[in-house]
Amino acid sequence: MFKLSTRISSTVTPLNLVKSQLKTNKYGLFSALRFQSSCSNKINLVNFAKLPIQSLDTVVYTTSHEWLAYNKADKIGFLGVTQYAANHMGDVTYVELTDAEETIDAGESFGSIESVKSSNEIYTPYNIEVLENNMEVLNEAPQLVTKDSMGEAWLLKVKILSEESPEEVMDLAKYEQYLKECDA
Amino acid sequence: MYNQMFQETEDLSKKMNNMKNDTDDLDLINEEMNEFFGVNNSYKNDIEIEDRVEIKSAKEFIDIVRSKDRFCLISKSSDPIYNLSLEDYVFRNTPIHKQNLKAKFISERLLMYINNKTCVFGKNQNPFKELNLKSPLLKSNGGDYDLIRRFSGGGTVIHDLGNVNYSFLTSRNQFDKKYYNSCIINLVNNYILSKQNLEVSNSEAVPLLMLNERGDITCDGLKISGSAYKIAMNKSYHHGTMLIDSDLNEFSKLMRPKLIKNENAEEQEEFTECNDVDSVRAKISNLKDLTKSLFSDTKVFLNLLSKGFSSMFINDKPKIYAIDPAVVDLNEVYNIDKNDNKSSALLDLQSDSWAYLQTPDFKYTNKVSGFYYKVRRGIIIETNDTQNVKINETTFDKKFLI
Repeated sequence: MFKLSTRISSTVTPLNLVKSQLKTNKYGLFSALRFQSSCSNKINLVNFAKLPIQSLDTVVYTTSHEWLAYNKADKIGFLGVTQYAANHMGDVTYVELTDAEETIDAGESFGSIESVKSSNEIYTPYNIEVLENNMEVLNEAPQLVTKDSMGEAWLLKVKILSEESPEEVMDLAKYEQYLKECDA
Repeated sequence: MYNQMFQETEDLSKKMNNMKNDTDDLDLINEEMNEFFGVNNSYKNDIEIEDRVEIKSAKEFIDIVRSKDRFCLISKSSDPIYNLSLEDYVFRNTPIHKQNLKAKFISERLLMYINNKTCVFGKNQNPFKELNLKSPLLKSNGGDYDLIRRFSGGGTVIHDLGNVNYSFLTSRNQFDKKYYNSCIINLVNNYILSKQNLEVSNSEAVPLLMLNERGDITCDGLKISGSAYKIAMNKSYHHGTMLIDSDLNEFSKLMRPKLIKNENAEEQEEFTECNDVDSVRAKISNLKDLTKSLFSDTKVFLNLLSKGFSSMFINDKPKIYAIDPAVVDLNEVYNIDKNDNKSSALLDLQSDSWAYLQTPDFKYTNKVSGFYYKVRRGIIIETNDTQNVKINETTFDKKFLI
C-alpha cells in the first residue's frame, strides 16, 4: 500500500493541474490570450509598414481569424491570419499556400498552416485571384507567422474579384468584440 | 429468442450474485463490448445498461451527423480508408452556427475506431524520409501494412488491431490541445485506482498516466499515445492513438532511421532544401504491459472512453452509436448527401497523388549512386540522373533511395 500511495502522490500535481485546467477551461488557457488581445488592441492591427505595398486603405477580418488589407480603388491587397489566431496556434512549422494565378471563391480554403501537430485551414472572405504567395519567405522561416502574422508573414497578395462574402466580415473594433465574446 | 432470454436470466442472476464483489459498471460494459464484437459472453441479455444504437442506413447516418446532437460513434470497420473517411465526413458535416460562433458549441462528438495494419503519416510529412518504404512489411512489397497520408498535422504513427483511435470533435473556439488527453488520463487513472483498491492482493502498484509538455500521454516515462489536430470550418478535432496491445517490434522496423549510414557511421544520403514536418521520435510502450494487463485488450479502453464521454456532460447526454460498413456504405452516403460538396475523402486517401505528390518539396542526395533529385510537388524538377528521369515528368520513387 505504501508503494501505491507514493505513486499517487508523485502524480498528484500534474493531475490536479490538469483538472483545474478542465474546470477553468473557459477562463484558463484562453484568458491569458484574451487579456493580451483586449489590453493592447494593437496586436490585431495590420503592420502596414511591413507589407510590400503602402497604399492600402481598407481592412476586413473574418470569424475564422483571417485579415484582408486592400486598396478600395484597385482592389489589390494582402491576406493573412490574425495575431490572435497565430498566438493560439503556437510555433508554426509549415505553411502551405495556393499558387499564383489560381482563383479562389469566397469562403474557400487557400492553404493551411501547421503548428505543433495541428493543421489549420485558412479561408478567403472574398473571391480572389492569387497574384503571389509568400512561400519564398515562409518556406525558410515559417516561425515568422508566430512573430508577425499581420506584417512580414502575410500569406497571399491578391486581386479581389468581388467584395461579397457569404459570411460576416468585420472591422477591427467588431473583431475585437467578437474575440471577447468567443473567449467569455 | 425471448424464451432463451428468460431462461438465461436465471442463470445470470446467480452468476451475478457470485460476482457481485468484483463487478463494477465497467465490467458490465466490457461484457456489452464483448457482445458488440461477437465474443462469447455468458450474461449478455441483462447488461444493456448503455444502449449502443446500431445505425440502420446511410440516410439515418446522414441525419444523425447533420443533427445538433452530441454523440459517440464506434466504427465496426477495421478498414483505415473507411474509418478516416468516416472521420472526415463527420467533421465536415457537423453543424455549427456560423452567424453566432460565440454561442456555446453543443455538438461535441467522439469517434472511435480500430484499424488494420497501417502506417499513417502527417499531412505535411515526407514519407520517403519518415518510413522505411522498402520494408517487406508494407503492402506494396507483399506485406500487410497500408500507407496513408492523413488530413491532420503531426508525425507518423502505426496502427494495428491492438491500437485504439479516438477522435474528439468540438468547435474551434472551444478547442484546447490538452483538454481531451487530460480527460483520458483522468478516466484511465481512476480506473486503475479503483481496480487496485479492489484487488488488495496486487502488491505492486500500477504506474499512472501523465501528460507531457507536448500534450502526449505517457506512462512510466514511455509514450503510449500520439496526437494530431485539425482546425477547419470553425470546428476542430483532436485525434489520437492509444497503444494497448500492438506489435511494437514491427513498428520499429517500419519507421526509417533519420539517415542511413554505412558501417563506418558515415551518412549515405541527404535530405536537404526541405521544411517538411519531422516526427519526434519517442520510446513507446503498450498500456497492457504497463498496467499488468488491467487493460487486457482494446475493448476495456473503448468502453472506458465511451462511458467517459457521456460523463463529461450533465445535460443532453450523448447517445452511443455503432456503425457497420456493411450497413452504411460511405459511397452511398456521398451519393445521397448532395449538400456535402467535397466528398472525395474516400478517393483522396487511397490515391498515390495524395500520399506522394502532396509531399513538401525536398532535395534527396544518394551518396552511393552519386545522384541527386530535386523534387517539387512529388515530381523531379532537377537531377543528374538523366538516364532514369524525365525532368518535370518522373515522380520521385523509393527506387531512388539508398
